[in-house]
Amino acid sequence: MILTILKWIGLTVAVASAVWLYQHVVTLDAEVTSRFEGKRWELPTQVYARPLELHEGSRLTREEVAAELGRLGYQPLPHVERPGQYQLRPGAIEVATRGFHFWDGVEVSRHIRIRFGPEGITGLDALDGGEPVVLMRLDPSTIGSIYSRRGEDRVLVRLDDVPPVLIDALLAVEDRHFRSHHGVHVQSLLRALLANLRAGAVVQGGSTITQQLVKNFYLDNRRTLRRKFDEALMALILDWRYGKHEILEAYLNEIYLGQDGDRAVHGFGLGSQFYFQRPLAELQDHELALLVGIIRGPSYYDPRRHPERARGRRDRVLTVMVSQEVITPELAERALGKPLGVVGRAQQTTRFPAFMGLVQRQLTEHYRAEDLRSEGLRIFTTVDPALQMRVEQRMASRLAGIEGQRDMAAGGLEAAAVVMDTDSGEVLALVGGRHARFAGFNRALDARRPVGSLVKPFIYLVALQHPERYHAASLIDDAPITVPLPGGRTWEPRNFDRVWHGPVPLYRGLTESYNAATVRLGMDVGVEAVVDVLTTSASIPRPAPNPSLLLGAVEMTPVEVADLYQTLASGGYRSEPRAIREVTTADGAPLSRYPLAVARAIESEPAYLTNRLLQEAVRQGTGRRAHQLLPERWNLAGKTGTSDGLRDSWFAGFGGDRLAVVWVGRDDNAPSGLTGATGALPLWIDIMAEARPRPLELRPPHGVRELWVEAATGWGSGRGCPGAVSLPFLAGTGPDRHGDCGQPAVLDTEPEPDRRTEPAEAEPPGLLRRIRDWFGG
Amino acid sequence: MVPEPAAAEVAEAPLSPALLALVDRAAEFSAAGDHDDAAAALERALRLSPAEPGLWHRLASVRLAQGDFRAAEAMAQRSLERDESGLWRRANWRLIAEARRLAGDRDGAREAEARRRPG
Repeated sequence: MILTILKWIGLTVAVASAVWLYQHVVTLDAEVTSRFEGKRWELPTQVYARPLELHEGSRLTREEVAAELGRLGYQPLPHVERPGQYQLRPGAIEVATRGFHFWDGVEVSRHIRIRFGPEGITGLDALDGGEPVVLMRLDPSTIGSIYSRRGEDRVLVRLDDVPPVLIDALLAVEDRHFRSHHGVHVQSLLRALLANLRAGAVVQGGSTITQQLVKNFYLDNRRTLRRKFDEALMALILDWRYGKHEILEAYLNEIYLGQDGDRAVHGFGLGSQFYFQRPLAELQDHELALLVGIIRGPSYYDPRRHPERARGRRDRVLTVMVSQEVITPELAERALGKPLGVVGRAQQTTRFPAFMGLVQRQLTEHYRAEDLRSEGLRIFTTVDPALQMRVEQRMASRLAGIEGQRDMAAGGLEAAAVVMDTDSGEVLALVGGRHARFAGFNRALDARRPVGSLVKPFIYLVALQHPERYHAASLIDDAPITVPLPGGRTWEPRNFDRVWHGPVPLYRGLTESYNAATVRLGMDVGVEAVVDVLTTSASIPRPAPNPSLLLGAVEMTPVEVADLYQTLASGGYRSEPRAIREVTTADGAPLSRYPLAVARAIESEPAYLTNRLLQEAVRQGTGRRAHQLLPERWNLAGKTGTSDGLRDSWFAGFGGDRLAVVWVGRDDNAPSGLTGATGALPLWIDIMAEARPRPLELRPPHGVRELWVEAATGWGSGRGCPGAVSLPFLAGTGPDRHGDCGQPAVLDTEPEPDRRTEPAEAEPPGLLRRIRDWFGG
Repeated sequence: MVPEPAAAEVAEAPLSPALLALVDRAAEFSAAGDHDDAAAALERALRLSPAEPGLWHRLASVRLAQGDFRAAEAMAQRSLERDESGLWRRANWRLIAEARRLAGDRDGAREAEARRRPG
């Protein structure tokens, strides 16, 4: 009887256990498959800098190309054999490029010699017996990734692209029976159990690759018996459902290899970048051995914090590799002699947080935040990492220099800078503060400050849109002016130097930044008209048309100022600041372009006239320090800006192809004691020296020519006459009085015949060079 | 809509091999109706040589084919401004006339037509 009851109980327990086990397996199976077959990994978005373009005629120097190769982790070696290696030679660089999948196709790996002359690249020679090379791109450097809230970063690798040595070493060290077991290896588990019992602690894992993957993939880190049981069960399921190939590939991409702040480094693809700053395929035996060794304890064997320990572990892995015949003893001997080779410092999450801020902002106009974190998008940006880093350095040292010279408390000054391509609006560098490597308040995007005299060119622009009333030498009275304000109040602007300069030629109001003359001019052309031109030239909130706007009582961010000045710099064509060129999917399929957009915002004549005056402001006016310190042939144009009480110091200006905007001030908005000329301008000069712009060669529009004018009176003058300055005038306009020196100019009232000559109707055949039929028809 | 073969009649100063390679690529893409890729190749060329009027003209043609008449005109204007030789003048004015006509600006188109003619 008792026996029967016991039997019944036993049976019930057995059945219940079986049912429970069955249900449990079904649950785990669902979990395993959904994770494995659905989106396996959240792939972070990769963000790339602009690639370096190599071609004959490029202005790149040998040093610049070498520096880029260094940033990309190319190895300088005495012989170039494989992609990712280069050799410096006199006047040349030999390099085997990596090749890269760009938005518009694959740039194949090539072995080339780049020849350099004093002006830049003089030629490219194919050393691989392939097609001649006329133009190619290096792979772009990664400037950051946008990853999930769980902080997993990853560079996906395919099993076929993984060096076989790595896989053999991995299996030799972690799971010798991987190819034959069913997910769990019982002998190994028992051996580990025995060893642990003997030691009285956990000294061996005994887990297979499959179990480790399960652990990384599905489970938390609690070491309970139940967890161990589930782990084994899930490993069996995984092995039953999927091939070894898939499991190994998943493992290679999932395994945890280190920590970088809040970023978890998963997989060998990223691990290779994280520790060696090179793609996995380029690693050598000793480096692969280190990665395999780290798996056991990424924190314990951290090669940066515990190099000795890491080296011991690596050498142990190499020894195992020999005993398991993964490599020959000779190769192992060589590998054992090598240093760890880990790059000094972990690459941060993002190298240029301020620029990344702009990228993120422009991305969110088109992409959902979740997709950015998990779909593995590839973003091709406009940043020039070499220039970016030099601007960061120049800012830090210039601010320290200013503080030193002026006995200011160190660290009180802050700054922001934007460097843009004038034609396209592409942002080449963007710095949000003097500690540029730390994400923080992004002043370039978010510090909205009064722009002071930066607004003045747009007042003169509006005036010069009315050639019947104003030209460059029109006299403007720089005398006390009382401006009525709403509510019966009045405003009496004063000059910065507290001096009234009397009647001055219009151009000097701008080049010397006289307040009274400018306000008088602005009130005459109308504040509304100035507001109109500001808002058609940049995307900024429409400022209220208060008279104080004329002296820059309007707040803008440095990027907005760059937007505004880009329109001037390009001769009146607006191209919004762009940080992104293209976006592709994880496997390189094009998703979206951010095309070059050009819209006419200002007519070319007033834009030209204003730019000429801004050139004079640098040549002889408030920006003259730039003229003194930078090459004269650059013909730079620019304007200082200083806000009330010396709180904000600005400079905005441009050369032929580069525009830079600099703001210097304090975060607490206290007076810094700096004007635009003493704070922002020196830093702007530093930045332009690094940006090396092409010379600004302004082409006068139809009917515009230069006349000599007396600087003091605005009267007509002549070349070589005392105080004579050459200024641009529209046909039919110019000084109506002439001084004592030089011949009076004839003011043609008829428009000039078109300067541009027609090509001869019948070209001599010799001149008929390359005739190209654009649309093939 | 097939734009006129504007660049065909221009005896252009030889472009550098790099620019030529990009211009050729762009022409192939355009012929295949792939304007995005054509524009990308020309923008890449403009980054290498921003003052080249022929590149601005070609990009204007692509924008016209894409139906972006405003950008097409602005780019043709840029080409005109950079065109010291005057070689691209007629082609640009024709393109501007076409852009205006397609945008419904008939007076503007006539004016541009008039500027295209020598005189």
